[in-house]
Amino acid sequence: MQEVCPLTTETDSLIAERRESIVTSGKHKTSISCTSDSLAGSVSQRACVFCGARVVLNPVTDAVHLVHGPIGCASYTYDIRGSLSSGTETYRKSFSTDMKERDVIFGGEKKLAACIDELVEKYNPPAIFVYSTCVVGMIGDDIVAVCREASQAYDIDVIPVESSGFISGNKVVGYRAAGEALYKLITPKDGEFVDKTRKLNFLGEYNLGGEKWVVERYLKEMGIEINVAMTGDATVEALKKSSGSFLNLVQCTGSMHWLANRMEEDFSIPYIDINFFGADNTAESLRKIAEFYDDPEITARTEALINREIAAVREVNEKYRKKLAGKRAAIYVGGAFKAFAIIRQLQDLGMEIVLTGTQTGKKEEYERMGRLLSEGTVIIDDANPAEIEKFLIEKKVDVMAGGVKERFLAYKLGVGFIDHNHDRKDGLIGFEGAVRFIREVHATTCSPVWKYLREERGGTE
Amino acid sequence: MKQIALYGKGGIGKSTTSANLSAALSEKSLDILQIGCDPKHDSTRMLMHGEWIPTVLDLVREKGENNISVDEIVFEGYNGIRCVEAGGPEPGIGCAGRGIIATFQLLEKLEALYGDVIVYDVLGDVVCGGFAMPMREGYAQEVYLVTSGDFMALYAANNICKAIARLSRRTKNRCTLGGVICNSSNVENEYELVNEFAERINSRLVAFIPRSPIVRISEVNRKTVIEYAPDSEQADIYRNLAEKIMQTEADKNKIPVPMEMDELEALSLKYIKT
Repeated sequence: MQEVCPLTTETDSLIAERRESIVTSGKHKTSISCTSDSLAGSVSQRACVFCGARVVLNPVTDAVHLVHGPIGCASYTYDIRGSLSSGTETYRKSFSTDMKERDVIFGGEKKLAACIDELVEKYNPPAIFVYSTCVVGMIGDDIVAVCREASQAYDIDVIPVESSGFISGNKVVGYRAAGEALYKLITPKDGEFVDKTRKLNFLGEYNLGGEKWVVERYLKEMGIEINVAMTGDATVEALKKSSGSFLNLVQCTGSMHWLANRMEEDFSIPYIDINFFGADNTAESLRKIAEFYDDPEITARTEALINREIAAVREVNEKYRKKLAGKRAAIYVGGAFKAFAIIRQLQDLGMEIVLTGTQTGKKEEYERMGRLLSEGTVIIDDANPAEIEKFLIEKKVDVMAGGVKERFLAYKLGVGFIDHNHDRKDGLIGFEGAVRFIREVHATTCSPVWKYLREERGGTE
Repeated sequence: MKQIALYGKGGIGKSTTSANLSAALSEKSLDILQIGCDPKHDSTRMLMHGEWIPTVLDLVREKGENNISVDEIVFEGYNGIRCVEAGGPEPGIGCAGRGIIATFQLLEKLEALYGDVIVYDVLGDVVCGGFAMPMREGYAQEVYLVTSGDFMALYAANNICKAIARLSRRTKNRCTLGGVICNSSNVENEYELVNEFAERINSRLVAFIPRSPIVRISEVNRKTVIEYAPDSEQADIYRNLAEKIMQTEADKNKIPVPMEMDELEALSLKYIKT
């Protein structure tokens, strides 16, 4: 189905060791090399382990997120997501133990304990997540013991997140650390009992620009309630009730499959993979959920909702399809679920996907991706900017969908750009998000500005 | 200015040797600075007549590195010898290696590193980059390995040899191996064994310090042998060592060659009487 990208000329910008992480969709069956550590010197678009943990946990709104380390770790990940809150905004503050040389030499445990004391006094949070950074791992501060003592002293959850950057060259290890921290938080303690409900949990949904609320509205219309999203607009109290839910939805699979599996084993909550990006994905996901509840009234309301909403999207789609059909698109995002959704949406607009890839995709996800794509599409795992640049030019890309690190590369090459990053402030989810997405794709792809840039570069038209 | 560092296995007698060496050097009307680079901070105690001087890192912890003056960390001991203890974190926490680096940066900033001879008395095992600090950045030009004929002492000395050999490949490196000091533990054929060890690593034995009760007696009297028993044979041995070290000139072209483990074992076996 796929073949390894051949090295072409001597001026090729590809690093030899990266060849097996770049394949071309087609008839041959060579599988992509993925899920490994980033190659030194390759300038991966991935972030570090700590950053991976923080993006997953940070949207928990009423928790204190305390980064134990030098100030840089906290400030570079400050307010890292566009996650919105319906209540408190504690999560948007960036707390750090601000370790200095003195703390490195003498150990940072006392300072950490003092910071926790101060934070409890000032904010009285229901939970504190304590993130470990590189230097803390190096000098061996026992954050587990400090957290345990603080938990006992204040009778709240003080949870260590083992996210020292050097433990892996892949940020998914940070997702896992975050998953373990959540698992600790949601597991009922001895003597605690969580009521069983008909509600569902929405895992891998981060409420960027209020996206969780959009889905919540659809589900409400269908007659289904969300207990909590993980972790968009989540509160500690709701998270602690999650073990009593009826169903888990998993959207961002990379960050949440591990936790979904644990919850299935320990709390007997089944999970289904859903995807609310794009109108067709949204409709399918809603039907999947309705099917699970197996209630004719829910099914009827679901169909009514889909019929009403999807018509509006179809209309917009038809209108812009005329202008966008045949345009060449690139997609480079963090996780595979997002890539699947964007591939489908752009194909619906008649566009051709010529380049795609993810930071953290797994083998089976890349196989599925290959099946969605036409022959000759370049697929890259853990790409670096040189590779993206090379293929944006070679494949004569008109528009790219990606995150913050790809934006300026695209702009400089005269390529349109759609921001699909986790710091977006307006949502792309559901039917209304699909409409917004189509309009954005059109505005950037067909912007008259690119022709001037491309002329300057010698033209790829 | 001559800067030397003494390295060797923990408990081998580095601090006793350093203190007596500094005392012997001071008799030559030289201005001596001894810096203890071990969190145990007991390097200069005999020179200070048993007084535990505040360590650099104690002061950094209490006052912050910007509020420390030279006279708070440099103390005058026996015969005008200036004494400094780096100190470090409590056992089992923090990072002592980073503490050594911070100490050197502070001493540098306070312009405390001057004199005719600076003696660095360093922690036994070079467990991380921090403890290699005295060998780096142009501090010590000569490292002296303190060892006995005990196998584990030779093993530790050989490891330090590896660190020096590695550093010698760097440009602008000033660190050399000055020689081997045998602080006897009364192992059989000890002189011959350590002498051959020194030759095998492309160095030389600069002193053989016999085991003597006077060392212990001086110590419980909180003095160096030079001060407590200046006319003893042992005192003369330290004076000879001082003399030899003053005559030594760092030879950058003489790079130590650490031994392989099996070679080291075979060497030790050779001198054991069966």
